[in-house]
Amino acid sequence: MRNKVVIKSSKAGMSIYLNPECTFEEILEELQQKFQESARFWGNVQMALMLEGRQLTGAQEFEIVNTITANSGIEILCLLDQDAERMERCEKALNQKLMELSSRTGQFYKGSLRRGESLESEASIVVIGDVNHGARVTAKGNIVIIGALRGTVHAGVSGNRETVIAALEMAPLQIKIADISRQFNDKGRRLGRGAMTAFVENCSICTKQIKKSNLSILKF
Amino acid sequence: MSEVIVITSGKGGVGKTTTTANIGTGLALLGFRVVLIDTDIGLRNLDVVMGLENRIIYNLVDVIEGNCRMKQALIKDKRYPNLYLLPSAQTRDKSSVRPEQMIKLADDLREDFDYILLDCPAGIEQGFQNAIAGADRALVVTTPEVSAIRDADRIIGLLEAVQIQNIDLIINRIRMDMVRRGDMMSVDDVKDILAVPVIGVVPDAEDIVISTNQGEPLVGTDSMTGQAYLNICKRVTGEAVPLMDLESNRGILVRISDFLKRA
Repeated sequence: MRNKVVIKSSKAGMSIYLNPECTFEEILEELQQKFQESARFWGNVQMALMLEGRQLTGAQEFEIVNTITANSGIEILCLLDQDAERMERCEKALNQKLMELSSRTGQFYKGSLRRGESLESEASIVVIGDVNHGARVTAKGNIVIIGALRGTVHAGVSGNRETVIAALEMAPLQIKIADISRQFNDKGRRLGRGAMTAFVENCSICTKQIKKSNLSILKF
Repeated sequence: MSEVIVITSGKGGVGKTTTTANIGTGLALLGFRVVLIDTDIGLRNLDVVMGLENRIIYNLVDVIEGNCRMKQALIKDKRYPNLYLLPSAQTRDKSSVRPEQMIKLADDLREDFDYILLDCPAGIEQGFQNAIAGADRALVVTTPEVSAIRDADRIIGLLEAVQIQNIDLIINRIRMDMVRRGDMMSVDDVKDILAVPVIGVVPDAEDIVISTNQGEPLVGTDSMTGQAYLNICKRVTGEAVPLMDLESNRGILVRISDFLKRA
C-alpha cells in the first residue's frame, strides 16, 4: 500500500501530499504520528503549508493544521493554494491593500535633505525642510515637502500610480511616480508660483498649482 | 574658552586657504592667540599664502608621530602678535594621520590658544574626515557658482551628520556687477539654497590675488576685501557687525538709474 501522507518541501515552505484513497481519520492519525516523530527535526519554525492530493473542506484543513501545530513546534503561517489563478488574485488583492495602506499612512521627517542624502519610506512621507539638488526621496506612498523641492523624488515605488508629490516650492531635477518619470532641466527654475503638486494623468506626469478650488487633484 | 574652527568647502579652488590665512591673521590683529593648522597633507599651501614657507623645519606629521615637540613645529609669524602656523607635510599623504590623532592634537593646543583654525583639504575623503574630527564649529566657503554650492550643500550635510551644530557660510568672490545683470547668484539665492547663516561676503578683487602671491594677508587693510575679512573675524568672535554694502563705490545717481531701469 502506498504512503498515506508524503511530506515534501516546497518553494514557500512545506507541502503535504494526502492519499485520496485513505479515510480522513487515517490521515490525521498518520500525520500525528509523523510529526511527533519528527518534532525535533523541525524545531520551532514558521512556514506556509500547501495541501495536495485530495479535496478538503475548510474544517478539515483546520483540523490538519491543528494536528501539526499540536504535535510539533511548527507554526503554520498560512495555507497556500495550488490554484495558480486564485493565488495570483490573492497576491494582487494583498498588494492593493498594502498600497492603499502605504498611501494613507505616513511618517514625518524634520530637516533638510542635502546633496548625497536619501530618504526612503515604506509609507507616505512628509519632509519638513528642503530637498536639495542631489538629494533623493523615495516612498511607497505620497511625498509631501514642506519646503523647496530641488532634488529627485520617487513616489509610489511599488507601482501605485495614484500617489502624488506636493511641495511648497517646486523646482525638481527629476520626478518619478510609479513607473513614469519626467526630467526637468530648466536650470533649477521653479515650475510655478507657490505650492504645487505632481501627479499622473494619461500616463505622463503633470504639475499643477494647489489651490483651494482644485484640491480634488490630490487623489488620496 | 578656546574654539577649534574648521574651514572647508568641498570643492577646490574656492578660497579655503586664503580665507584661513586672512581670518587667522585678522583674529591675531584683534588680539587673540591664534594657531593655523594646515591639514592638507601632501599639498600644503597655507605656508605659502602666509609667506612662511622658508621657515618650515618640522610639520604636522612630525608632531603626530612624535618626531618633535609641538613647540618646535609651531612657526611664529613675526609680523603679528600671537599668530602661529603648524604646517603640513609635503612628502606624506592624508592616510598618515587618523582622526583620533587630530582630535588629540587640537585638544593639546586648546590650552595655549583662543582660536585653532584648521585649513581643510578639498574633497570628502580621509583628509576631510581628519580635519573635521576635532572641530567645534565650521566655516563653509563657497563661491556663487552652481558647482561650488552643490558641493557646499553636501559638506554641510556631512558636518551636520557628525554633530557640528555651529556652521556658518562665507560667500567668496562675489561680483556685484554680475549679480545685478542676473548672471550670478545673489547672496540671498545662496542663502536660500543652503539654509545656513551667512557670516560674511567677500567681493572678487585683484588685490587678493596679489596678496596671496606675495604671502601677505590683506586683512585689515583699507581695501574692500581686507575690510570684509576683518568683519568676518569680528563676527567669528561674536560681535554683531552688519553685512558690508558691497556697492558703496558706486555713485548715488548710478544706483538710482539702475533702480529705475529694473523697475
